[in-house]
Amino acid sequence: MEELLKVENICVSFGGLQALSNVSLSVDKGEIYALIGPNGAGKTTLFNVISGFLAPTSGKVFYNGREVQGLPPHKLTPIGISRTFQNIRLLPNVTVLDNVRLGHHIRLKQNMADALFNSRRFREEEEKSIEDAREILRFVGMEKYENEFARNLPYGHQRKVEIARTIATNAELLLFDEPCAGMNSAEKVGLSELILEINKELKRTVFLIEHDMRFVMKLSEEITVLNQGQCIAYGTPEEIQEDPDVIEAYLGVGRKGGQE
Amino acid sequence: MLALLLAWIVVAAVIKNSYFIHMLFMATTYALLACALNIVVGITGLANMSQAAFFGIGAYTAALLATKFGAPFYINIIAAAVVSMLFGLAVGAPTLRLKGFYLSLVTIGFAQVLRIIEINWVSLTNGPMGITAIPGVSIGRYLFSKKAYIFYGLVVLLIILYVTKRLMASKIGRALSAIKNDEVAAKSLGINITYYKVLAFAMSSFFAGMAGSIYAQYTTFVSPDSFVQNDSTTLLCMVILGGSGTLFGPIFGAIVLIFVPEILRFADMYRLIFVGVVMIVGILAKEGQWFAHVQKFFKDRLTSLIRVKSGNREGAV
Ligand SMILES: Nc1ncnc2c1ncn2[C@@H]1O[C@H](COP(=O)(O)OP(=O)(O)OP(=O)(O)O)[C@@H](O)[C@H]1O
Ligand SMILES: [Mg+2]
Repeated sequence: MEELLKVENICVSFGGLQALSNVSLSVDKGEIYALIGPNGAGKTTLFNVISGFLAPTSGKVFYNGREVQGLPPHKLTPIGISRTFQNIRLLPNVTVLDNVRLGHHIRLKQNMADALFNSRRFREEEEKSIEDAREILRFVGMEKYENEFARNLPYGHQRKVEIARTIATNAELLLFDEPCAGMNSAEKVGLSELILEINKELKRTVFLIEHDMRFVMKLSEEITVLNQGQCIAYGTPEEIQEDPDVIEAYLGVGRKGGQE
Repeated sequence: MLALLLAWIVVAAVIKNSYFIHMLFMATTYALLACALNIVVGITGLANMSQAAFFGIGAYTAALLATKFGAPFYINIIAAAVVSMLFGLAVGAPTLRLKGFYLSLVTIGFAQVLRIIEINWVSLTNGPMGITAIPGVSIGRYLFSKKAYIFYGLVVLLIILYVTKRLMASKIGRALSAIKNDEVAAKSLGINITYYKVLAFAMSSFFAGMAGSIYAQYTTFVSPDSFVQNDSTTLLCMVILGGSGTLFGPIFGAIVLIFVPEILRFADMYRLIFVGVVMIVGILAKEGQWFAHVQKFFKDRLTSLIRVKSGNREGAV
C-alpha cells in the first residue's frame, strides 16, 4: 500500500508539559486509520500538528512524500488535508448549504473582477458550487436542511454537515476528531456507515480519533494508541484489543466512559 | 432602501438653506465612510479605530494634488483612494495578526502618528495651519456648487454599496464573514486569514480615501483638526448602531449620529448625553439589528397594502 501520511518522531511541548513525545505513525492511501487513547493523551494535539494549526517542537510530517510540518492550514488544505474539530465548528449563523460551500473556497477561481462584474465564469462557478454542495449534502443525508441555519440543527446533524464540508474541500486525507462524541448508539451506527461510504465510494483516506472502542474496532484497519503523549501500541483492531498495555491504559477508561 | 435614496435625492435637490446643504453633505460623507468601515468592522469583524485617519490621508492627497498641480477631480479621487489604500496595506499587513482590542490600540496609535505627521511635516502639509484654498471640482467650465457635492458623494456611496453587495455574494465575502464568525474554522478550510483581513482593510481605506477627496474639494480646506480620533470613534458607533455587517445599516447609523446631535444643539453640551443614550438604546434595541426590523416593518406594511388592493380585485386576501 502506498503511504499517504507519515508522522516521524513528533514532539510537542507546551511550556513544561510534554504533550507528544516521539510519536511516529504512517497512514496508507485509501484506508481508515484510528488514533485512540484516554483524555489528554495528545490526540487532538497530533491532529493540530498534521493540519497545520500547531508547529511541532521537533519531528517531521510527510504528506505524499513531501515534508509539510509547520506549514499553515491554508497551504495544507489545497494539497489535500482537511479536518473536523472535536467541538464542532460550523458557522452558526450561516445556512447548511453555505457552510458546505465554504469548503469550496480553495478551488473557486473567481477573482474580484469576476465578482464585481458578475462574469460568466463567476456565475458558472457559483452554480456549480451550489450543485456540488447539494450533492455532498445528499451524500451525507442532510439535503433536507440545506436552508437551515447551522445553529438550529441537532448535534448529530451538525457533525455530518461538518464532515460534508471537509469532503467539499476535495482533500484526500480527512481528519475527524471524535466524530461520534455525544451521539447515541443509533446515530453512531449511522455515522460509521457514512464514514465507510466516504472511504469506499469517495475514495478518501480517513484518519480519525475516537473514544468509543467498539466504533473503532468495526471501522478501522489500523490503530495507534496514545497515552500521555506516547505511542503505546500499534496494530490491527484484534491485536489492540488483546494488548495488555492498552487494556490497562485505555480500555478501563473506555468502559467507564461508555457508561456515561 | 430605494425610498430612502430617492428621499435623499429629492431633499438634496430642493433644499436651499446652506446650513441644510452642509448637513446633508456631511451625512453623505459619513454614510460613505461608515459603509467603507463596515467592510472591516461589520463583515470581517475587526476593530478598526482609525477610519478618520484614512479619510484624512485621502483629503490631504486630494488637497495637495489640487493645489500644487491643479489635478482634475477624477485624478484626485483615484489618487486619494490609492494612497489611502497603500497606507491601509502598510498598517494592515504587519498588524492584522493581532486580535481584538490589540488591533484597536494599534489603529489608534497609527491615527495619532499620522496626526503628528500632519502637524509637523510643515513643508508638505503646512502644519497646523492646514491647506487652504483647495480648488473645487469643475467639469469643463462648470464649477460644482456645494449642493453638487451631495450628488457626487451619493454616486460614490452607490459604488461602495454595489461593490459590497457583489463581494458579499462571492468567495471573498464568504471568506470575510467566515473569518468574523469563526477564524479557526475559516483557517481549516484553507482561507488565508491574514490575506483576507488585509484585503478588507485595503478596500475600506480605499473608499475612505475617496470620501476624503470629495470632502477636501467641498470644504476647500483641510487641517489636522479635521480628522481626529473622535471622528473614528463616531464612525465605529455609526456602523455598530446601524447594524454592523448589514449592507445599508451603516447609512442609518450615519444619519442618526449626524442629525440627532444637530437637532439637539439647543441642549448644548448635554446633547452628548442624549447621543450616548441613543447609542445604548439603539444597540440594545435589537443587538444592532434594529434597522433590519424597521425595514421589514415597512416592507410588510407595503406588501400587505399591495395585497389588500389586489385582493379587492380578485376577491381574496
Ligand atoms: N494549546 C495548548 N496549550 C497548552 N496545553 C495544551 C494545549 N493544547 C493541549 N494542551 C494539553 O496537552 C495535552 C493533550 O491534549 P489533547 O487535547 O491533545 O488531548 P486529547 O488526547 O485530544 O484528549 P481528549 O480526549 O480529551 O480530547 C493535555 O494535557 C492538554 O491540556
Ligand atoms: Mg481531543
